[in-house]
Amino acid sequence: MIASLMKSWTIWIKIGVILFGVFLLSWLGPDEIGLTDLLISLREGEETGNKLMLAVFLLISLNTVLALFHYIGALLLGDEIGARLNRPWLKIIIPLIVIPLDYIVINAYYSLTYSFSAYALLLLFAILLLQAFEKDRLKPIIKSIICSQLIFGIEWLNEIPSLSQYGFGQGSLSMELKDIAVQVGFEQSLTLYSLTLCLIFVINAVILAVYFSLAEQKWRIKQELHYAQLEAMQSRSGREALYLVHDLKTPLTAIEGLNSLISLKVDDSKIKEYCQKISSSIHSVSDMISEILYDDKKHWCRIKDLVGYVKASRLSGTNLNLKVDFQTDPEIKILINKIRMTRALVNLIDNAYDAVNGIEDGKILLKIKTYENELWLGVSDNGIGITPKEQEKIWKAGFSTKSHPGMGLAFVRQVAKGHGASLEIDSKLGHGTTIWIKLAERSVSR
Amino acid sequence: MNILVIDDDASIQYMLSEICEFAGWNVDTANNGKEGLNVFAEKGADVVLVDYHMPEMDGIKTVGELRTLNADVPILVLTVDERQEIADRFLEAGATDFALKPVKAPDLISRIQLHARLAKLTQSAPQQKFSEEKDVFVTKGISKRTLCHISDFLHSNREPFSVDTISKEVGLAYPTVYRYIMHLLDEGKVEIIVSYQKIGRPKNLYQWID
Repeated sequence: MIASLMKSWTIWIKIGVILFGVFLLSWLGPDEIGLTDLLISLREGEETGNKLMLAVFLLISLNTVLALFHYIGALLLGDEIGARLNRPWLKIIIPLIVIPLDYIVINAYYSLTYSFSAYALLLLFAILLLQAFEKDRLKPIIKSIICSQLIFGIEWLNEIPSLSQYGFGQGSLSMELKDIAVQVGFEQSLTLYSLTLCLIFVINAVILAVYFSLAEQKWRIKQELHYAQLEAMQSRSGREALYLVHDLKTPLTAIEGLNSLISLKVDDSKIKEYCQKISSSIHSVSDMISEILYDDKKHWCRIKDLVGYVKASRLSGTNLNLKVDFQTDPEIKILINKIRMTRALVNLIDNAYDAVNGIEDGKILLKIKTYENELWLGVSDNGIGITPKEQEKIWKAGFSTKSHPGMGLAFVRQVAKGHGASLEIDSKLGHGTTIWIKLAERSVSR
Repeated sequence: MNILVIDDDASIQYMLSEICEFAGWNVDTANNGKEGLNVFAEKGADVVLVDYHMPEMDGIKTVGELRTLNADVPILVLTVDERQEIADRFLEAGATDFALKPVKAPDLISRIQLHARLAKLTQSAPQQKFSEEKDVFVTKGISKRTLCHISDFLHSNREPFSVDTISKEVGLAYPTVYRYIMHLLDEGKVEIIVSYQKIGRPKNLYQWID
């Protein structure tokens, strides 16, 4: 699992962002943006409020840009790893570890000292805010925008002289600028500016977060509605198909009636035999139609025939072929609705193909075995497996690992229920999955 | 014997006519319920065959209308619908029995013969006017004639049978027999005996109670 994480390029991008933030200071430091010059001229007695305000603004901007990389990198990294390993707590723990680490590295690496006290607050606030909207799945880009506003806003707290005693703005540059402000008598105006800007940006960030999460929710509801409409349409077309299927019996009736009449009218034994053959074909068609129309219709059917039917029903463009592993006598008869059981198995097989999609030696096996008079039909793949958490949700209609609404397994469950069969998922992460349909003893003949 | 076939499908009409003619009966055909009622009012029939799915007036309604015209005539419903609830609605409307599509010629012939014979039996045993009206429906969807027919079989054999077996033995369709057995069960005339099979579900068998 860790190995597969390491292979993922998106993770590396985020780690890259964090590292970039650490080394950015080398190319984009106080010297490069003219902050050093300003400070020098301030130190040399040209203590004007104008230069002071400029210097403060430059410092904040610089800090924001630097911090942005650490925070966004760490937050997104935490999100991704947490999501991939299906452990939500990682989304909070990872940023909490990575961000302080950044500051330790920076302080060790550069001559400038950066304080972390205000950031503790900022960090907590940002993470809590973003995690609060976590379930709404804000897009990374939106998260970044909100995050940058928060950072810019809270950075201003570092420049309020009266907050220094609470550990804000302990960095060397910040301390110096605040001292100058006190000397120039700009203390109050700097405080006012900083507070105002802080509030504007923080409030704005909160509003944005709320707005985007609402918009996201709205969009999702719309999507769900769309899927629901699709479902309704599908079921309607399904009903239409049922009427069509129903009408197939009318011509069959005419055929059967006349066919049996021929049989009554002729003495030729061969012709009688033909009529017999035609009649049995008509009845197998009729049985199929009944099975499609009524899910409680069942007939005895050899396992061999079921497997043949499944193989014939599976139209797929893949060149993988379905291997069947008979661990029991294929002549055993089972009482099933062949049409629906076939559809259920085909659904499982399709899922299995999806699971091994992209795996080099993907293998799919239809297993058939008997166990204490029960008959088990299993479809196994050697894909990535299903996490226990997903296993609980997997049978619900609408659950899908793909982009479309999942109906397949919900249907499988319905079919199993209709046959009085139980279902079992046997899955090992990284090794594959087998889903068993276990037909009870009463549906199996010996 | 005169048979009236009411069906909207030409191929089914033809097939049924051919079978009836083979059996030596006269056939009248009608394309829908309304037409069927007119033909019946005009010519009458010994047995009526009605299709379930028809435009204008569906099978159930047609059967109901036919019953108002004649309380006695056997009405056989041809249907592809296997649901018991549909069967019950038909029987309540006054249908006598069913032929599930696709149907084989010999089966259809023997079923028509059976119902013609049952109808003759009741006619040849003249009863008082009052009881004759009662005769047709003991309760909604249960005709005395059919009830006697099924009861006789159970009464004379005295062993538990499945609905399937009874249906084959008495020559009536499964949904008809099922409904009558349920009625007899309510009346306390038969009892259920659960039989555990070697394979498949346990079966309900029905036996006459003395």
